[in-house]
Amino acid sequence: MDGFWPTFTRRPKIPAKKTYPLGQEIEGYLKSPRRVLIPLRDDTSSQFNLTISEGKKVGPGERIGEKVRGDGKIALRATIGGEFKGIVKAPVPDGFYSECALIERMEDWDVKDQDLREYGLSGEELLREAGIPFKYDKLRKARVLVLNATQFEPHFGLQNLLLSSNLDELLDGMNLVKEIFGIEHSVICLERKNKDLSEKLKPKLKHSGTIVFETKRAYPRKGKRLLLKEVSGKGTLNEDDYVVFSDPWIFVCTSRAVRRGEPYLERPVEVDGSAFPTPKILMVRIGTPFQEIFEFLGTKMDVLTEIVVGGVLQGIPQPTLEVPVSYDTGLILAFMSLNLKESTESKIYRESTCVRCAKCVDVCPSNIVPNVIVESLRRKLFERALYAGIERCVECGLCSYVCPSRIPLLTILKIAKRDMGLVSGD
Amino acid sequence: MKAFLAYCSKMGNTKKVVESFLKGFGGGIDVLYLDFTPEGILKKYEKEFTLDLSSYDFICFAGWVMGMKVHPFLVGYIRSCEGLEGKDIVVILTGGSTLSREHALAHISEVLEKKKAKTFEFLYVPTLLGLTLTKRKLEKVSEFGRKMREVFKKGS
Repeated sequence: MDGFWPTFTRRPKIPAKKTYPLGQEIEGYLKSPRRVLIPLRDDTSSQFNLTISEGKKVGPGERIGEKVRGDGKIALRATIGGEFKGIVKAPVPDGFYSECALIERMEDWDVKDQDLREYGLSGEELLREAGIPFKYDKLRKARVLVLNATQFEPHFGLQNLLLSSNLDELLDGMNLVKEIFGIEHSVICLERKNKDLSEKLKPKLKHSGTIVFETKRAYPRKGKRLLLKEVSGKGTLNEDDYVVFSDPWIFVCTSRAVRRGEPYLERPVEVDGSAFPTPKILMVRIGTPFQEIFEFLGTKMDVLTEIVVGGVLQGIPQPTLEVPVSYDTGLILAFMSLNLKESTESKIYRESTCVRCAKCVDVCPSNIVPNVIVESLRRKLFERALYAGIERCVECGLCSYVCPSRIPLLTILKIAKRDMGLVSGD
Repeated sequence: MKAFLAYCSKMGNTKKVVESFLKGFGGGIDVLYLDFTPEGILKKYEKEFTLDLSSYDFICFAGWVMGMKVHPFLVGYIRSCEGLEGKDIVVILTGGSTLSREHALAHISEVLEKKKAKTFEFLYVPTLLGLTLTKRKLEKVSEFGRKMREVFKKGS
């Protein structure tokens, strides 16, 4: 009998958040990985064109092709100097297999990063050539630029670090985006509990044209509708007037691209989890395989059991160590576990039937009933799922976290929404 | 001469027993709390976390018994450890009933034999989920800790 006390009275509602001390710096720089796998697709339906052939030597920042999206083309650039070995299919952090450009570093090929100022570009064209993956069609229509810097994932402290140590570049980037796309206002959303950071930011933002808005709670990446409801104070609003970003680094890259001509080649990645003695924040080149990051940090590979990109609530488990860092990989969690295979397994830890405890309903930020929706989906009653409000799901992962029957609610909701063609938030 | 104790505790009863043991032992021992999720994943990296116990002269494992067997968390940790060959291990187990004592001893002895170690001393504390974990029992555990301290000092 594994624990007399019922598990549902002991399981916490949401995991406790970790806080980073203000003023923490990026602790390492993996500038020269042995090879990179640059993802060529953003999703399974996007296209790409490569303009180089196998065997060609490329310098860091050199244009190798472009991604073709609905709102136009974005340049693809080599993130290290080396030889282009061809296209390989590799799993990417978003959970699908994508074509990737494999570039292997050459020891005697020392070339400086490319400077985009040589091309004399400006505005949106410069940002596209720098490879910055903005949603350009939404930026053109928006009147308010919102940065969601509420820390929803408990392990994710990178946002706070960027806001405190790269604030000038971040604000410059936001102002440049407003100028280029004619956006009138900009807002940085912080959680009310995060008083230290908001008190530090407010004096600096006084004359910058950007407002700090303190939210009552943290919002997930896809919780645009919920966030805007609180920010605007309106029940119904025109969502096209607002464009929401969750990754502050994209604005730092914008500032660097315009002021210094630097293309988007690297990003800070936070690594955490029981596989690392201490959590760290590293600067890595886009396309660096996770294996190289773990080797760089001295992880014990034989006890590594699970790698998750994105956090404990909304994260996606990864199948291998060959997954490369993509343009929006902010957090890598790696866990170690021990050999339990020959031992007694408790049945309490396997998926069982819904016990109607309503913990998922209590915790849902969208006020829908996840267990009813999932039951409808499993019985293929899709209209009933739509009526129950599956469109309002923001894929936060809280329902899966609290479920005592261990039903994979988030996984089922995500797959169903994708197959039904439903898109939530940005 | 180095001493080490690794334990896992779900309801806090094994933790109370370990604290009484440490009180009797008197300090100078590296303590590792194994905190796992139900899937066996280590929740957080502790400073003392190690799988290599070759440098330790006194090793103690403490855990709880479930279904007349030692819980998989402790067994999994022992299986992953290195450097246990030829070591004499002290084992402290807690469980719901006294009837599980012999089964648990047989199970842990089997696990340690596979690692070429042997059970040197064994203490079983029936707790019935905390209801029968009395002060007298905890005092006996402290006494056991004092006895193990003498053994550790003698180096045998």
